[in-house]
Amino acid sequence: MSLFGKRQVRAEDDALLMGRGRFIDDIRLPGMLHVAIVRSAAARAKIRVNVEAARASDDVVAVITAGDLPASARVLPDCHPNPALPDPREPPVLADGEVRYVGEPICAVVARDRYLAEDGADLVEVEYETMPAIIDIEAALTAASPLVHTDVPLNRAAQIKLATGNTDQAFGAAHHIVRDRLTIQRGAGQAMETRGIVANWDRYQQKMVVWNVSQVPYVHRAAIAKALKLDEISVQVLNGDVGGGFGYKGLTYTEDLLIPVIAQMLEQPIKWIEDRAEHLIASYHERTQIHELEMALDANGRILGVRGRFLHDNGAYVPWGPVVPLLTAVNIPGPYKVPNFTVECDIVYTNTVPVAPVRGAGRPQACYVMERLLDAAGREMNIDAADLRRLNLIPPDDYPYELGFISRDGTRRTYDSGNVPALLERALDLVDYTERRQLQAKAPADGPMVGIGIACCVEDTGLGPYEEVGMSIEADGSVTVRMGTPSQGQGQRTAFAQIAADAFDIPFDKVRVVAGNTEEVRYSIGTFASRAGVVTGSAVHQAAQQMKDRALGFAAALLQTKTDALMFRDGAVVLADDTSRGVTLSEIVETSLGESGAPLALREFGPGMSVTGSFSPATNTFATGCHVAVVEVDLQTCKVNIIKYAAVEDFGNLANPLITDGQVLGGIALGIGNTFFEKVEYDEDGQILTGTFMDYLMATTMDMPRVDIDYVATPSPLNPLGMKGAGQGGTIPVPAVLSAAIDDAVRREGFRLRHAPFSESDLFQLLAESGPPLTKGAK
Amino acid sequence: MGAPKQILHVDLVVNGTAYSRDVEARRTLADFLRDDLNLTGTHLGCEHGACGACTVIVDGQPNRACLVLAVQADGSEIQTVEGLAAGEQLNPVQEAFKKHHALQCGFCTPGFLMAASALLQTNSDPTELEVREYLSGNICRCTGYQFIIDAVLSAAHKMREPGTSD
Repeated sequence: MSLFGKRQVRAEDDALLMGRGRFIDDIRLPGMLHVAIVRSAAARAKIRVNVEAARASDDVVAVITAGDLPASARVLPDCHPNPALPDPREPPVLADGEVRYVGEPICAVVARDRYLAEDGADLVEVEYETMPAIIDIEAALTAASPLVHTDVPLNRAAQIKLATGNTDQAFGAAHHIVRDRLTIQRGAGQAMETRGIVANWDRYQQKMVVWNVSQVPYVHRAAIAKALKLDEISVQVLNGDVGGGFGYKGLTYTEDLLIPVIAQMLEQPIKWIEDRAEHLIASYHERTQIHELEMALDANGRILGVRGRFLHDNGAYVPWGPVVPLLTAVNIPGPYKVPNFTVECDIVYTNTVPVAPVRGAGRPQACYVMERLLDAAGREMNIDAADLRRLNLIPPDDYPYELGFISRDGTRRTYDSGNVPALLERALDLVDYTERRQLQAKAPADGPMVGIGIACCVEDTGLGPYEEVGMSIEADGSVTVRMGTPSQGQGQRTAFAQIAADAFDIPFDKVRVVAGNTEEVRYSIGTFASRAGVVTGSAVHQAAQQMKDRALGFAAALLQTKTDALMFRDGAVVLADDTSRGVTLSEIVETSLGESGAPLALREFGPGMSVTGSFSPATNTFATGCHVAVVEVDLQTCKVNIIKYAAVEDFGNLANPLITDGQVLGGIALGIGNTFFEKVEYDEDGQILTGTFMDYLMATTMDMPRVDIDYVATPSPLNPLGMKGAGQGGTIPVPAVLSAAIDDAVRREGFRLRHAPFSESDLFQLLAESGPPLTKGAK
Repeated sequence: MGAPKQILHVDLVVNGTAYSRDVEARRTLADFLRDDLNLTGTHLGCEHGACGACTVIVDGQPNRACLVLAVQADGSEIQTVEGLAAGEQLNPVQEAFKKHHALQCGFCTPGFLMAASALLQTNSDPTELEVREYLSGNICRCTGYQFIIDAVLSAAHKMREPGTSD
């Protein structure tokens, strides 16, 4: 019986389907008070706050301003220090005299319920002395620009430079050079559950208990402890069911400190639930970057080098170091051989919401620019898109493949395993590529415009440094697995139970997985960077090995045999050559605990069946993917119809393909949003123009094509299960693949997509500006 | 905050149980269900009628509980996600959602279940396009919708022909 790799339906589902989830807003504590936050209406201004009328209201319990906060809780700490951004400007917990983006928290109003808290917030008067906002990142870098932070010249938070080989020499020897300016506009995570926090100062335990929606509860525990001047073990962070994460819940926000601070000040439970209006203007965004890059190729279309620079819009403060632009920089070569590579990036402060990873995290930009350059080269050199990629993909025999520069985790960036050419061929087969190309060549000029796009990507997954897992066998022989990486919907209770059940040869429902409580294990990093499956999954495996050794020791003593004569069978340890003889896990637990008052029967083993295991990967794994799309473009309406979409992924070995299918599909839905809809827009004054779901659009049932998913596994050598992460692979290549398919369908001189997202109106405009159809045969 | 808070009385039936409550006029039906009746299965995703997470069935029609005031529901019969299962037994739509992995985080799921139930009450044999159109007012960020659509089509099949496998 092997459960690993089975399409096991999820342990999580029954409660969620019956409306019995335990989400943050479902928590009700006696005496709980509610917070509404007054947020900045200006992007850059000196402010004066008058809270007298609010404080005078009978319905308001308290109003907290910057001056009311303890000195230890006035500015967010740098929770993710990174040498590439040595002196980050961190957000004040509440704005103190100056605001730097629309939506920045100014003060908190506390009342008996949310309606009254919002009434109270309306009574707060904020006077704004506005100053010109810094929105455009290119203008921000000029000497004439005002400054977001007066002590940061040119608004440049940091510069990143990455190089390998001799790029200038490669360009000097090039047969063909393509160059382009490629831009991506910011979007947002927009999980269906907004953020929220409940904090309760437990006077009797002298402990701060915080429920939140964190992907990184241990990071929050440390930050809260520091702000409240408590020991870490006096802070408990709990996560019930969390309604989606998508990266931006993996950060520390000012409210993560503010709400516990208020709970400590008032000694009453405090609840803050972000509403969607707040979420749309004030939860962290991602993706705005401007790239100016060029690619050198030889006469056959082989890449000689890539060079250029890009600008990264960081927003007003630095919530997670330079991780997004770093990930773009290191991921630009993708799964292709790029012997010579130089890229520079300026990280720029603007008067906008801080930028932090959103599913994909810098990699969609990297994939987009690389694939757009390849498409340009293919068209100019008249090489078929698939052939050009076949020529340039890293061949399977070249893995492990070293790129010649340093990775996000400080190690020499080395792709552990992969076979992207196989992914490409499988994806091409799924859309009948050769046949479609033939049909396309023969299609009448006045028929529907059909095009094909291809994109391949790499995702650094399974990031270290470690995860810890506690495991115990219970009196009834069931197994409990405890971990620090909380779920935001990824099905951890299912996938990790599959791993543990296999180890002991017990049924799936005899394993209980517990997460979302910082007191279950002592140390953890968190659920992000497609790492929980890989790192926590491997830690589950590790803990199970330790537990198996322990159980074998007990069984060998009880059965008077050697451990290598034993095996696990159906909840018992049995003799391999006579499986009718053995001891059940339940009996082993009983023996290990003995009876109160009597000496333990097997004293040398110590008491109980509980172990702690951990896994610390040498470096991160690399998942890869290839997506191919076939689209039909109506040149009259500019409607794009995705008629075929194939996604072939290498996530290594899969614990549960049903769950990874879900990850791929959900990832593609975000990618389709990133291609056509999802854009946060600011005007020149820094006012956000996309403040409702009628303005900020996401893919619906009407926008999603049916996707053909397949997997080609090259197991990772970096962990015992051969896993790679699956969280972001679906999202990364989508804007690249759809842009390529639309360019290929339209085939007009001068028509080339260089910006994402783009609307039907944008396509219409580009078409109007484009030249005559390209001659047949040109790609 | 000068305006006096107007308190009104509502009588309504939720999942077959009659409730009689005093409620502030400005209170939404969603907040009333969640906070006054402790039926927290109905979730608030946007509070401006755009995401569908709070969809409940009011007198047979799907409605956004965030856009209805509790007082407007006076005299109504309401079904919420808590009323779908018979005890611990999932109904066919819930069962299909589980089988087809039509939920991940589960936050939008109550809205999808109620919208899908409303669809299947009026159309027992919908086409894929009809399912897509009917559910196009509900947003899910996790699943990419494909498995939700599969689940609804599968539930429809099962409800038309009980005992068959899909």
